[in-house]
Amino acid sequence: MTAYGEFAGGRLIFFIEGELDDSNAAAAAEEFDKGIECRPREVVLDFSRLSFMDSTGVGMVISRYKRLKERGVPLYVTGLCPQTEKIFRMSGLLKIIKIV
Amino acid sequence: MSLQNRMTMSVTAKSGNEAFIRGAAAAFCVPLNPTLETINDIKTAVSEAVTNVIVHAYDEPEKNLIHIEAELFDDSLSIIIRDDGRGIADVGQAMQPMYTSKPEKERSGMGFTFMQTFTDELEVTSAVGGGTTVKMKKYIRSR
Repeated sequence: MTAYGEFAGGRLIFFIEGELDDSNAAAAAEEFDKGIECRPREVVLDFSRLSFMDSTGVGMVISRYKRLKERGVPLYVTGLCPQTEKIFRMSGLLKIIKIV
Repeated sequence: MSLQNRMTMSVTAKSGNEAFIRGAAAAFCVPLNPTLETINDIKTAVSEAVTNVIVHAYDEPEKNLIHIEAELFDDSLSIIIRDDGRGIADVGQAMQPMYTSKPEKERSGMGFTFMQTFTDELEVTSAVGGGTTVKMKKYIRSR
């Protein structure tokens, strides 16, 4: 798993690549929290190179969504593969995080 | 329904083994030529069961084992994920959607829900002090 952010024009694009599970979700969350220190106006999760996530990843994403919501910063997602799209749909994440 | 293959393994209960175990379960089904969606469903359900063992079963997971037993039939996979850990006092409560005994850990509480959703049969048996056994069955849709 590799996680990193790219900040430009007020938007943080946060990439998580590989597979996201209990072995690495904390590391991804730490990188994300560093990334939002630059106070973006919006954040996009780019999962186009993420091939797998489970409920640990869901917990991590929900927590980040709540933190951003408290600051009034919208969170979006892009590049879902069939497996991650199913996880987003089944968990209800798609009801709160829009695909862009 | 005829038995095609069997697998038994015990692996250290550490999170670094999650990818290995779900990958092994997925690879075990390859002779049935499963669809990508079926492979992903199996990987997800197995990952949830293994995560539960690592997070909840043991005080020192890295000094303990996860046991995996799988049987491949001509139309389905039967897989058991078992531990020798502390057990679950109230299985019904643990299986409620969004329930987590560790809310401070950013857990979604969706592990058992995903196991139910991504397989065709789920059976959980547990005894306090006697470990937990998760048995799942998944019918294989072939390409």
